[in-house]
Amino acid sequence: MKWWRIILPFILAMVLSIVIGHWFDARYKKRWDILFFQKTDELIKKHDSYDVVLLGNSRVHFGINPYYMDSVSGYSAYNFANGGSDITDILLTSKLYLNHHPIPKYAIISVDPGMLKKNESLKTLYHYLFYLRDDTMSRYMQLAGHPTLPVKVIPFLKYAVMDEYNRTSLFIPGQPYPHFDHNIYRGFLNISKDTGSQTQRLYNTGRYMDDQIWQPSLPLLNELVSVWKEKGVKLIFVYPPQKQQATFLSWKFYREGIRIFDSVANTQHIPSFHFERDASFYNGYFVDDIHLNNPGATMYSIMLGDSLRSLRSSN
Amino acid sequence: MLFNSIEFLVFFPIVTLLYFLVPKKLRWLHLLLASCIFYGAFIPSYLFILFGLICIDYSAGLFISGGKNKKLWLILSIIANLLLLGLFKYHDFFVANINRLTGANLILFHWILPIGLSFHSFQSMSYTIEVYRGKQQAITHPGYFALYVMFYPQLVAGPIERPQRLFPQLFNPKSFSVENLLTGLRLMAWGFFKKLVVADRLGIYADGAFASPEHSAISSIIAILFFSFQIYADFSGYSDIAIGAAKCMGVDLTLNFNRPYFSKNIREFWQRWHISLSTWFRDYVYIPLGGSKVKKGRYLFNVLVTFFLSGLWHGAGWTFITWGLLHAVYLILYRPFVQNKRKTLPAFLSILICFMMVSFAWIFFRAASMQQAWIMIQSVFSGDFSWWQIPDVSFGKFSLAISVCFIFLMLFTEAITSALMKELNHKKWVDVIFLTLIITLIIFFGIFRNNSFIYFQF
Repeated sequence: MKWWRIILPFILAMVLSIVIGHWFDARYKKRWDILFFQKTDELIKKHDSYDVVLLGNSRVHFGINPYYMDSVSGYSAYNFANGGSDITDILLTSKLYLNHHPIPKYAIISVDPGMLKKNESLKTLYHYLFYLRDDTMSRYMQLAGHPTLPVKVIPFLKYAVMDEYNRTSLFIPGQPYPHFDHNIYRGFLNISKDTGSQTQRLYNTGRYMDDQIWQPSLPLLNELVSVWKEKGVKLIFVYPPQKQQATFLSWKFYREGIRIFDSVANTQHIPSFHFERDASFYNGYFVDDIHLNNPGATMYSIMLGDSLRSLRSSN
Repeated sequence: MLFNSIEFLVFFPIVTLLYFLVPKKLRWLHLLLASCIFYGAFIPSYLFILFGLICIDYSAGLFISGGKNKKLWLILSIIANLLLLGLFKYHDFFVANINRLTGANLILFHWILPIGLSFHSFQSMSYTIEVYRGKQQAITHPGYFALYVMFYPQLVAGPIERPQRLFPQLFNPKSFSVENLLTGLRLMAWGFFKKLVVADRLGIYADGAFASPEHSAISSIIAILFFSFQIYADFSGYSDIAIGAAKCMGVDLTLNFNRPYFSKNIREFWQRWHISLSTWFRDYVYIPLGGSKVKKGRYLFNVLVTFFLSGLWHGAGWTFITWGLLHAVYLILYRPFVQNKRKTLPAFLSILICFMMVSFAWIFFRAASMQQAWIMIQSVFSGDFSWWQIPDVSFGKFSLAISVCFIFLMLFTEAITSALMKELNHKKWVDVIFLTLIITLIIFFGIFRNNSFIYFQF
């Protein structure tokens, strides 16, 4: 018996894994291109200049369309929000933007108490593992518990880190998102075409009833504000529309979250746009309690662009 | 320390390498220290419980071999072992039942069960029993005895070794052999495949289904079948890694599984499933009670007692006891078929029926309570064949498809190879391709979340 019998399978497995890894990378990128890779490429690999940077979670990602917003405001905006983002991800996005792009005029942060709970979204934003060459990204992913060094050295190991859903998602064939009415534009995506459509229900009522504010998110929120202010960028808080009969969150949690954002806005003199009680957003504009369908998102984007234009005029 | 952890990935090659570098006379010490590190990685303070167990049975062995009051020392040793098990594992179960029946308010301990206590206490007991029976000499060297109980590959989930098999191998360590290393590593790779690729993947669905009351008959059936394969892949995977790790050091451990789901009847199943435990109960409980060569009533009693204890060994709960008793009923019902010696069914159908019976019993084994088991059974017979997905469980069509593929790959591979896959030693290119594919599948389809092995809880 020779040693090669033990060594050769490991070498062959590594070679085979490199080949499969490249194939998986291509498929994974194709699968998640519109939802994640386009905007992360824009964030890290491209260096275009934008006037307005949109930040937040799914309520921005699927809710603010830069196409309509720009048409009213006269600015150029990019939607850098990710569905399910917490304050850590928004802070990381902010730092990455400032590292790779010229300073924008405005950074608009969508206010959502859900951003202040212990979400740990970086643990599940696996597409970030494709960008570990960026030091800021690598540091944050390491802090989130990912084995960044092994993945950097042996890139195919990222598939060993992923959960079952993400790993098998690359085998789902075809382009999953239909195009219509500029519904895919500069980081924005919304596939709920019709008024009253329930096709993109994202949120189960009562699901987050036990949520609590994650205390470490408070210094992170202050850091987020500082990051933009230090660069002289005007920060704006936007309180997004929600169903008037929304029963979505524990009200204690909701009020506490809003109070924190209000308090930061007051102490840091951050202007706010309020849409949360705007009666023009009737139930037909929502897919669930807090997420807009495409017509709703169009209206919201136009109204936000209008508010931004008013702010510019008043200044 | 879990086999499927980064720590073990470092621990194993260092311990194996040092094992062959250390002089043969000192290898017991090296392995004992390594075993302490391995066990101490779970809860270090529980090493003292293990040391206590070792002291009791080491002393008992010497006293029994001394010749005076042999029986008394054996009984004292067994009582001490069972007391330890009773305190940690069964106290709360019995007290909770007494409280429920009598309305009393006796105190529950809520102690964490030392990992693998049932395994090493049974292995330790088999030593004192064998010394008592005169089939094993008492061990005078406390270090070797400690190593017999603590040998790290099989310390926390077996195979439960017999002293006659393990001691000679510990006393006479083998020299390094590439063949042993290859056989061991191959078996370990296969064990990791079964654990990481098959068991933990199936567990995502099965755990979700058992945790959620809202699902259809289809999803319940899939969950039960998946759990049947999950527990097999999980436990036999552990055994393969344990046997493989020991084999790398030239130590042959007992075969624990021999393709049990290919059994044609329930008796055959128990000759192939968790062999080291079933032979333990056979040799130390069933046969001393009289075995099968007794009157019918006594035979029924013997089978029921043995399987009641087997169920209780697995866990302090009515679900485990029901699981054990259900298997006892299966065996009792099977006996008339053997007596008639009729070959009524084709092999494939026999295997399928046996598998279905075993799978049905697994419902009780897996369920957290009798109520949950009942809900699962009701769901199977609900007639709702609407949908297979489980709420809040990320398990798409592709996950389902590859899970089924991996189950078939596992069964097919085991059907065409022997239990230790030794024949691959002589088919070099088949072996190279096999290992290459297994390693690659583990990398891309393994679930690396440090999921504990199911049998660790016992």
